[in-house]
Amino acid sequence: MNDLITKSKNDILPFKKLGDLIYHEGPILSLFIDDDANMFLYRWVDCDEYTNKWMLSSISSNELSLFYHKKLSLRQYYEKCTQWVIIVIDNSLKIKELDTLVVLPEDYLPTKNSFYIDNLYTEFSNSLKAMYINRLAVISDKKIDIYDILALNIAGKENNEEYINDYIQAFTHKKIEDIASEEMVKELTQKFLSKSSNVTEIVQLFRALNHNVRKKILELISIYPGITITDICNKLKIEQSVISQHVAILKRSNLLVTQRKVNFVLYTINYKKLEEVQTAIDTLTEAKEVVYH
Amino acid sequence: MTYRYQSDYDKLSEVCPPKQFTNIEVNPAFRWLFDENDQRNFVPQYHRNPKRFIDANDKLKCTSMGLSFFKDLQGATERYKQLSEISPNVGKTIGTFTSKGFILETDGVSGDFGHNSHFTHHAYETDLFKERFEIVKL
Repeated sequence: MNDLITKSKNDILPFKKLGDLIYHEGPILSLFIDDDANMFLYRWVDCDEYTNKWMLSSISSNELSLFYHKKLSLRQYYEKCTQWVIIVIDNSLKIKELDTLVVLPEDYLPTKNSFYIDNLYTEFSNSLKAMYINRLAVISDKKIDIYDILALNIAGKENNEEYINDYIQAFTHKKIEDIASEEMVKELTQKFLSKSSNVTEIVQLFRALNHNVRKKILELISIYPGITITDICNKLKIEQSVISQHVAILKRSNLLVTQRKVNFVLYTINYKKLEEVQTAIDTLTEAKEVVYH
Repeated sequence: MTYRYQSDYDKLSEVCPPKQFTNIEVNPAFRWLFDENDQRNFVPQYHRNPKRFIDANDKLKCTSMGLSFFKDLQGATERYKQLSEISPNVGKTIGTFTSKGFILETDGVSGDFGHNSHFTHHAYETDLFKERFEIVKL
């Protein structure tokens, strides 16, 4: 909390606004970021005739991910949150005071039903939700390294039914006959093949994504669309030659879109490609759940 | 016809109201109000507190210069409940009572109906909403 207070004292709004997550005649819930790429929720909590009160709190990618997957309500997030401050802003947008209440009033907290619901949130929020990083974070939490399994089991075996069966076996770490009937395996196989029209390409995408530095690069580009390689190096504090290699892999997999501006190459994320990855992951996760049950 | 906040629209780089907004009649229409005769009832958020939107882009500013309405009561109630679950005090900034009235084609232009039947309306300077809307639900 002390960090937030120090930062907030220095400026009117010390962080850059990424976008509004909930907007009704004005922002209700927004996402901010600082220079170190830390994210913050900024939620309207109260007002009187002269001031508005906002709650500023730090939030991790993983917490955002869990929220979008409806596994964490805003209420649960705030109950665990230790980095927060109430900012009182007057009509001139100056910070009038910083309130560091020990216990938050109940009406400053979301209710227990404050899980994510599609139709309340903005287009910005929808694009944030679609970001691969959310999905990756949740999967990583479950210790399911589906990328390696896929790469080992399906690469080069394009649309091969027998190989898909092997994949399911590897994925679930159980023998198919122990956990599923032949019919069920066939059904899963067909389902996977129908949704992932080009298995080889999907596997290549998984390989490209399955690296911590490349995940960090993608996360950074998603936060700063149009960023240059030099900026990526500076922010991640990694040598340019290393970053260039990883960016090249991402580019070859069509995960990045480039635009040349004077002497710079600007990078943005190819969200359409990421959606393909998401669809494949959804299919795999779904398949795993069906097999387990 | 001149919009009530035409001079503010003229300052924006975006076309405001957006071109796709049309003159349509919506009957009934619902809007949250603060209280009968409260001066804030039909004043857009932007005009109640313009500095709150200092970091907003012109598209958002335009949206904030419009008024929020709902096509059906169920949608209005549902959205209110959803917003209250995020910020229980939200009524203090968007109104606490649901009102019912109607919008005529000659009142201004409206956008498409979105989730919960919500739509944004940009009023001409001749609108008569204060006389037409009355509180139906606490």
